[in-house]
Amino acid sequence: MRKETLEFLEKHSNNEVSSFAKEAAERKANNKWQKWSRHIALKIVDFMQENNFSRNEVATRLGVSPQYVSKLLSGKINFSLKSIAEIEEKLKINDLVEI
Amino acid sequence: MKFIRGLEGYDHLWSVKENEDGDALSLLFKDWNDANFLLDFFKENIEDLKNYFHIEKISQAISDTFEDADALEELILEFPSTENLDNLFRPLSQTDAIKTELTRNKARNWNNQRHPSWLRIYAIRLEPNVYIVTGGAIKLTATMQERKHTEEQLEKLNKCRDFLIENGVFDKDSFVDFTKED
Repeated sequence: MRKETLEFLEKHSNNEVSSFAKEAAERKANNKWQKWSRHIALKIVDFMQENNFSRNEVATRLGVSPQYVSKLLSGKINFSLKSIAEIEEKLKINDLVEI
Repeated sequence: MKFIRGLEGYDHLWSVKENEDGDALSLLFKDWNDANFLLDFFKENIEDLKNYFHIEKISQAISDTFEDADALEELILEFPSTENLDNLFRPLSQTDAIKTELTRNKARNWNNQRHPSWLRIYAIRLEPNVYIVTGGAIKLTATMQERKHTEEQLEKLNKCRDFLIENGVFDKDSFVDFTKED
């Protein structure tokens, strides 16, 4: 790498490093359980597409806020068995988690 | 315009610092791992998904994106062991392929099994194996000019390249004519 190029980049940098690698490591560390969370999120996405439901409509059906629905859809929520059963019941989705 | 290192301890991969929330590289992977963002994106671009990839279900598109983002993430993290970013990035157009400095490039997972990858990381190549990531996109259409979100990425590439010309130490005669885009 040319010395001039590195000097130029460092001159326009504040010595910060991208959070990419740190976040990638976090994603990897949480990958196993988040796979389940993503799976549930995707089932809810299927429900929304099939029924042409918005987040607000899902929120009404579940009796929660639209912000909470966004959280459900983030694929990063650690669901309790109770909340899974409630979602299944209220959205009439079978086998939200297949075991 | 501010640049930050993409990976700690390595001088070859840089990222445009977008705002307080993050830099171009990290923000891309946040979006590509967020089912909320992806749901809105694929809802808005459902016709492109159907027409170009024959995928009807948004959940399938989101799942494929998660998988592909993981693979692309691995390829970037592998860089310190290979130190060969030129294998990951390729010229954006034939015009960019002619020159060697300040060219626009794209990275993707070139070996996606299910269908050609729609994830793109866009970067300016400063010299062999040295890149600045300016952004990225989910590209469902044949060309970047066809959709606003990809067109915006072209603008980011050009803005970064202009900044480098105006402030950098690079030879102006070697620049590609960026008005030409395949």
